[in-house]
Amino acid sequence: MNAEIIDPSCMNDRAPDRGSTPRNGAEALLDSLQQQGVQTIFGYPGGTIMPVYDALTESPIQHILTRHEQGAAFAANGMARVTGKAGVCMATSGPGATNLITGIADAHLDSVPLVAITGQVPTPLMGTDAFQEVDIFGMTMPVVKHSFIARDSSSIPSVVRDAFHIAESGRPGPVLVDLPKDAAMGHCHPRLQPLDQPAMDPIQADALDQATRLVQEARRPVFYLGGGVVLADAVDQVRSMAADAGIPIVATLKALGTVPRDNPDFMGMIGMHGSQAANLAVQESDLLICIGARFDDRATGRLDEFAPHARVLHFDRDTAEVSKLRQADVGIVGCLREHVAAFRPEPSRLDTAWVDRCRRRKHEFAPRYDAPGPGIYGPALINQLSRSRRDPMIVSCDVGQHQMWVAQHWNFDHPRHHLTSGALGAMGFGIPAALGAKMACPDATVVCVSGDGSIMMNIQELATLARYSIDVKIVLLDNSALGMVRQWQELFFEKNFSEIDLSDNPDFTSVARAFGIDAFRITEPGQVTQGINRLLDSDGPCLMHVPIDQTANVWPLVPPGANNAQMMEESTP
Amino acid sequence: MNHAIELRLRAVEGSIIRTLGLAERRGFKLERVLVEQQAESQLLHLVVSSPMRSIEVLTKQLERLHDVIDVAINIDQSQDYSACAVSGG
Ligand SMILES: Cc1ncc(C[n+]2csc(CCOP(=O)(O)OP(=O)(O)O)c2C)c(N)n1
Ligand SMILES: [Mg+2]
Repeated sequence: MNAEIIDPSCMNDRAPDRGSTPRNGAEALLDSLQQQGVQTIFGYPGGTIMPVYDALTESPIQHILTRHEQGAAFAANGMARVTGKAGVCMATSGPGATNLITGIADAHLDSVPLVAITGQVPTPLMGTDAFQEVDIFGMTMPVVKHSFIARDSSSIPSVVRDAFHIAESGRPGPVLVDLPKDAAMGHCHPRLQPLDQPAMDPIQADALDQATRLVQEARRPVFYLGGGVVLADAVDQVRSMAADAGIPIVATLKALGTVPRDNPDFMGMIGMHGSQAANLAVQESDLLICIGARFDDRATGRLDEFAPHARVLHFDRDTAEVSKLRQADVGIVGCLREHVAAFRPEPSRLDTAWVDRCRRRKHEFAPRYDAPGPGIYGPALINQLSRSRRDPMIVSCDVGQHQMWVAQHWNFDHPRHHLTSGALGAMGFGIPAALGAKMACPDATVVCVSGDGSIMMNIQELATLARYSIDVKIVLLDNSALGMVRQWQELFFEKNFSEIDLSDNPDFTSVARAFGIDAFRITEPGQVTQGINRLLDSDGPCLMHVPIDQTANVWPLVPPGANNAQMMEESTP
Repeated sequence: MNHAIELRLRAVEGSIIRTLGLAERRGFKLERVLVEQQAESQLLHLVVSSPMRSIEVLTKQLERLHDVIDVAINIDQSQDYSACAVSGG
C-alpha cells in the first residue's frame, strides 16, 4: 500500500468547525433528507458514519437508535410499508452495513421504498482492505433498485434527491447510498442538476379495449389481486371496480385487505396456505384478471397447472413482470390506479351458476375456530383480536405458522395495515417493523404477532420500544418450536424432527420485563378475551405470552409440487 | 441459443457490473462481453445464452435498471468481436 496517496486529513476524527459555512457533506446530507420530508431515521453509529452523527445533534430529524442495524432496516421498512414514503436507515461501514442487508433484501423483494445510508472508509482507503471496509455497494447490488457511492461532497444533495426519487417512483424499492467519510467531512458546494421527470405513461386505450373484450367473452373470470394494487394506491379504484363487476376475487398475501373478507365475492387468499374457495375459483376460471400480482410460486403452486383453462389479462406497473412466468393474452403496463379507474369490466356471458358455486364454497370451506384440545387455539385468538377494535389496527407479523394464521384469520381493513415479510420471509421482521409503523401512525393500534423462534431474532428491539415508549402490543404464540419447519418435517419428511425443538425457551415474560416492557401470560381459552383487553388497554408497550399446542398446523396446504386444486385438509391422512 | 444484445449505459460507477450481474443471475451465460467508452455513456455489447430463459424478459429486466439508457437485441450475430479485447477506460 502506498501511504503517500492517503491524505491524512481524510482520517481526521475531529469534529468540523461548527457554524462554519459552507456546510460539510454530512450536514448537506441531513438538509437534503429534511427537504425530502424525512422526520425519522433509524440507525446505529460507528467510525465512518460519525460525521453524520455529529451533524445529527443539530438537525431537527429524529434519530431512533435501534439495538441492531437489522432492526433499523426493518423499522424503516415497516414505516415505509404503512406510509408509502421511503423509510430511512443508516449504519456505519463494515459490520454495520452488512447488518442492514436482510432488511434491504426484504424491501427489494416486497417492493418497499427504502433509502439505506452507509458510512464508508475514506475514498483514498477504499480498495485497500481498510479497517471496517466492505464493498457494500457490490454486496447489495442484486438486492437494490439502485445504489450510489457519494464520493464527492458536492454530489450529496443530488444523490439524496435521486435516491428518493428512484426508491419511490414506478415500482418502489430500496436504494443504497454509500458515503465515504471524507465526502461526509468535505465542504459541500451543491450542484443540483434538474431531475429529468419521466414522461407520464399514457393510458393504454387500445389494450383496455382488448381487455374489455376479453371480459365480455369470459364465462368464469376471476380478479387476481397482488401487492401492486397497494403500491399504486389503487385500493379504492379496485374496490369500486370489483363492487360493480360481481365476479369472484382472490388476493395474494400482499393484497389482503383490499377487499373486505365478508364481501361475498371475495374468495380469500390464493396459494400454498390460501383458501380452497380461492384456489378452486382460479383453477376453474377462464380469465384471470391479474392486477399487480406476479405469479409467485407460493401463490401459483405448480405453475404449469395453474389456472389451466384461463386466458390472462395482466395489469402491472412493471413491464418486466408481464409474461415473465405466465404468458399474458393482454398486458397493460402503466399506472395501475389510472388503468383500473378507466377499466369497467362487463362480464355479459358470466356463468352465474359457477359464481354461485364459488360463493357457496366460500362458506363450505370457511375456517372453523372450534379446535379440539384444551389449549388456546392460535387462529381463534388471532381472529378475535383482529375484531376487537374499531380504530385502525395495524398488524405486523414474523414468519412461520403464526404469520400464515394472521393471513388466514385476521380481519383486515386495508392492505397497508398488514405488515408481513412476504417474498423474503424473514424471521425477525415483526417487532422492528411494528416499531416503525407505530412511529408513522401514532394513533393506530399496532400489534405484532410473533413466534417463539422469530422473536429471538430481533428481541433486542424490546429495548428500543422501552427507551422511546413506542406503544407496540406483542402477541407471542409460543409453540416451543420452529413450528413451520416442524410442520413440514411432520408432513413431508416422515416426522424426522430435526433441530426444531425450542422447549428450553427462556421465560419470555421475564425477558420482556427485564427490558422494561410490561408482560403477562395466558394459558386457557377462557382467558383469551380478558387477555386481549388487558393487552390493548395497557399503557405503553406490552407482551402477551401465549403457550399453544405444538401440533396445531396451518391448514389447508398445497403440498410441494402439487397444483392448487390439490390442497390437503387437516383430516387428510 | 445465443443472443446479441447492445446496451447503452450511463458512464457511472457500477453500471457494467450491475448489468452483467443481472444477466448472469437471471440465468444467462455470458458468452462475450465488450465495453466501449463513449463521450457521455458507454456501450456494452453482450452475447448471452440460456437454455430456458426468455431473452425478451431479460431485456425488460435490463431496461428497468436505472443505469441502462436503452437496450437493443441485435439479431445479426455475424459480428466478430474476437479481434478486439475489452476496450475502454
Ligand atoms: C431468518 C430466517 N431463518 C430461517 C427461516 C426459515 N423458517 C421459516 S419459518 C421458521 C420457523 C419459525 O418459528 P416461529 O417463529 O416459532 O414460528 P412458528 O412457525 O412456530 O409459528 C423457520 C426457521 C426464515 N424464514 N427466516
Ligand atoms: Mg414457534
